[in-house]
Amino acid sequence: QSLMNHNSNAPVDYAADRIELQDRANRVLLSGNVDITQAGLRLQAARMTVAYRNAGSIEIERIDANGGVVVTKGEERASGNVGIYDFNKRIITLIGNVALRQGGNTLNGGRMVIDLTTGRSTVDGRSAGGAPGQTGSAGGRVSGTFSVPKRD
Amino acid sequence: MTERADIMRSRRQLFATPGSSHDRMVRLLGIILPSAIGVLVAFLALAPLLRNTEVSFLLDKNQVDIARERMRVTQALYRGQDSEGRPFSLQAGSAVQKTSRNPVVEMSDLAARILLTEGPGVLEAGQGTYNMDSEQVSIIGPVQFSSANGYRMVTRDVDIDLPKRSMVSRGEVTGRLPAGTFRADRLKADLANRTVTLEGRARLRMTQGGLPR
Repeated sequence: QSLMNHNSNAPVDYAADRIELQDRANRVLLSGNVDITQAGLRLQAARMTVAYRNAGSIEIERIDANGGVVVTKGEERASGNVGIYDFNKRIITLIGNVALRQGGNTLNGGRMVIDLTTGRSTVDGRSAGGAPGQTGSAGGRVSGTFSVPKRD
Repeated sequence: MTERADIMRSRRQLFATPGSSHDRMVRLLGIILPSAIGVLVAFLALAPLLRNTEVSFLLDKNQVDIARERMRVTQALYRGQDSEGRPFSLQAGSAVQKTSRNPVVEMSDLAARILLTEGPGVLEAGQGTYNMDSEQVSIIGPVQFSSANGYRMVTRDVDIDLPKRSMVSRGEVTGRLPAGTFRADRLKADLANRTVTLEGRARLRMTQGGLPR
């Protein structure tokens, strides 16, 4: 549960091969092994787009990442093809052969939503986007392996 | 004849008699004047030999105080036009152009004003050189660009192309933008569209304002 009440307002550090800041569009484009850290949460991908509001001070709205997205925090590591970090709802959505590794346990599926306030990650089988609860188009399966501590 | 006339005549006769004061004065002058002429002639003949100081002088070219530079201007103002014909101006505390062959003007505390769609943009720097042919300003040390709507960029050691309103860093660069503070190996900025491209180990740090969410 190390993802619990992560502060989405903390400063965000970006590292990339190329960063393009478009002030007029209030947008930042990062490409080339992009590595973002915010208060212990780490997001890595090939390309990212950051959209922010600039009302006097900077408020990041959302970060779209694609190209081998990896989210790591503490010993939890989640990866997927596309990742969306919504700062307002404080959730990270990973889409496309999602894999979650937590200590010894692994969980695979089509789509995963990490809730940064409760620290709960829900994986479901649908690989296509869509609100949870809808019947997904591709009936993907969720699989996982859990290691149970031995009781002797 | 009247008595008075007799007195006047006798005084004149007395003055005219040989050995009177007139004769003595003339005899005296007869001696003084020729000797004065002799002395003068002697002086003129001997003068150039006697005095050893250099009376005449020669204008020595390298001792004259010549200006080291071709142009030295204080409070210089240079106006030009950018690619779309909009005026830009370059102001400097002091501007020095070394020689006429070399079109580079070294400037200190310079301010360049360019016209952007949303109003004027100002570039301020402490030290820089301006190439009049290529209309390029290369800044040494920190520079600040601020435009009308509060967009501020602080960086250093950049070359600015005033007509194209673009800025390129010469080497590693650090700085600050509305979005945050950055460093990179290279920077390219398009001042008109307010886009900044950082390349080569680029780092950016965005501190968000507002309440923790």
